[in-house]
Amino acid sequence: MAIRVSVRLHTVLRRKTPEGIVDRLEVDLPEGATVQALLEAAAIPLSGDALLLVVNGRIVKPEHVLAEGDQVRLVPAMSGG
Amino acid sequence: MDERVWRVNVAEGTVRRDPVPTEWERLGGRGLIARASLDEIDPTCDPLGPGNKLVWASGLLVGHMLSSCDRISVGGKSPLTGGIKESNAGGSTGLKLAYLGVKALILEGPLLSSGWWLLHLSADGGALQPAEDLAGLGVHEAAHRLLERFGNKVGLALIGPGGEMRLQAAGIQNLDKDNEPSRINARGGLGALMGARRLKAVVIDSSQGEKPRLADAEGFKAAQKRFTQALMAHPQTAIYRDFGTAGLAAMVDGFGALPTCNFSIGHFQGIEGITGEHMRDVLLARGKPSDTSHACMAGCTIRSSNVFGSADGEKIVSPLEYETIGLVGSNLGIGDLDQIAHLNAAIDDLGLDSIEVGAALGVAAEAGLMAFGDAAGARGLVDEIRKGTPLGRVLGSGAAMTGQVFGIRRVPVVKRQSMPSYDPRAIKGTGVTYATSPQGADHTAGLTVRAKVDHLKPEGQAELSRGVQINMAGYDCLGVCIFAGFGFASAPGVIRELLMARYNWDGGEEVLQDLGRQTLRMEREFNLAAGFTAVDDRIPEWMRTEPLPPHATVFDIPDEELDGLWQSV
Repeated sequence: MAIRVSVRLHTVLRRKTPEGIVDRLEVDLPEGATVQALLEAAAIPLSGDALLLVVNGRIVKPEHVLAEGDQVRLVPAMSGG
Repeated sequence: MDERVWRVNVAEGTVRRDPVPTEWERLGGRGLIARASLDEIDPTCDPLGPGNKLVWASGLLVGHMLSSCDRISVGGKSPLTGGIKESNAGGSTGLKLAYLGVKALILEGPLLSSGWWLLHLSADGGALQPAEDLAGLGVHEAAHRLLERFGNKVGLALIGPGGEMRLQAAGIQNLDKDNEPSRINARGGLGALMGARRLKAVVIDSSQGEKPRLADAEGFKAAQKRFTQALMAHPQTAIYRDFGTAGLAAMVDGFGALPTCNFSIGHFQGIEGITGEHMRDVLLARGKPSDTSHACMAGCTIRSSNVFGSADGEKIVSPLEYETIGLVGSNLGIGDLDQIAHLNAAIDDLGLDSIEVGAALGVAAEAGLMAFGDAAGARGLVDEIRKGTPLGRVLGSGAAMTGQVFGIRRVPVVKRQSMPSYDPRAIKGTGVTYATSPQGADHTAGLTVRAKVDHLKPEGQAELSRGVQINMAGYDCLGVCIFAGFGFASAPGVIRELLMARYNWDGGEEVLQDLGRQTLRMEREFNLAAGFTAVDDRIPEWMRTEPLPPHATVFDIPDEELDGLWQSV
């Protein structure tokens, strides 16, 4: 069994490709995969420490287990002002 | 130059330079404003009366072009909140006042009933000059004329028509390093205090001034190097350089906390048109004068500001920041950055706080004065402020006033000051800050959006808010931009080293927090004496009862936690 999650890449995680800038991914993962596994599978260049990991609008830890259809945002941490 | 307290009495036409009181010597910025307010302002006074004062104070580290550490604080009793207020800004004012040895600049004394004046400061002292010719002018034209008259090396702090009308959303604008009057002490209506004393502008000629003396120049240099390296190496610095604060739009929308249509929803349908990512792509495609990265202060290595130009190569506004994108954009249902930029430019030129005006327009839209999404309607209302009509003056006095006049309950304010661009129901720690800060709902008092917590859960948010409020108050005493805080956080001990090298006093390991706690205690003391009670430390009732989509969340931090927050500060 595999699951598919939608990933939104924020700010510096966006990727420049010949077809243009990519900021969305659909990623297939084995059932029971964690957010940490997603970071590795999607070759995210920043560590979990430097990111806010957001699943369905809530901040989670890297060990959070993903489910089919989850909406994931990987947000390089920043604040306002 | 020796540090002095400069006292300006417009009614008498005098400027005095007094010795610095001993108790003020180790204070700067926000902390010095709190001390001076307690020492010299009756907390029960009429904010627009003769008993109030307006105080400028550079932060303790200002004057050395430490990256992002030359901010100017201004404060006094706020005509908007009725409590203490400190609002800080970048630009060149802080640095130039420090070069003249101005520990504090205090506007005081009786009120005048007519005339307009400007204050000229130089190494020779201060002088008041007639400025009738500037009355009624927008900030940009007034700044342009002042630079023509005094040369393009001076600093300026000036008000627009909003401050002249003593509107409660009026700020004080400062020149950035390129002489744009774009860096605003925005919050709390401090521009109205200049207007009340009929002072249109402060002109600062620091050409004969000098860098503040260092107790240990070598030590300062070494600490500065360590700080700069830490700041440059911090991953967040690159994010601010490329995306600016606008990078927050998609993030906060993703949390379901982006103020939309007068804080009625936390997710904006038109979000993709107002993200920082989209703005970067647009500005890069447009080219000069648009710029995705711009420094507001000389020596800043972060460069989080920007220049927003039109498709046909005309500059519209600089900078366009996240808080404005939220309050003037999604909060009004407007999803077009060009429209937001034009509104921002018009509000800036009036010398008004774009957060407060955006919130007031959101309330006005709920009252039926414009439709959500109607940028032309919003512009028409801003033009009412420019014309000084009764409706315009209501809007220019902020969201609370607008709600009262039009009978609207959904007004996003605490202590009558409008919330910035984070709905407190979906980022609850920031809601605790809004509720409990002596400053009212304020984006600079201690945001928690970056913290790795579930923002929807009430547990632990008060503790989180207390910590960031203390740190922010500390940074505001130093003249430090919030974004430089990340550099300081990854160079432990460097603040203590810098203060030691500058002043030869050892603030100890927790100097940042000690400055912050001391400041918050003084501000709290002022507000209690001004008549504030626990009722003033609350999120509005409708936000505690009306669930915010998409997470259907209310603000549910218990009152006891809000009231208990101050017991351990």
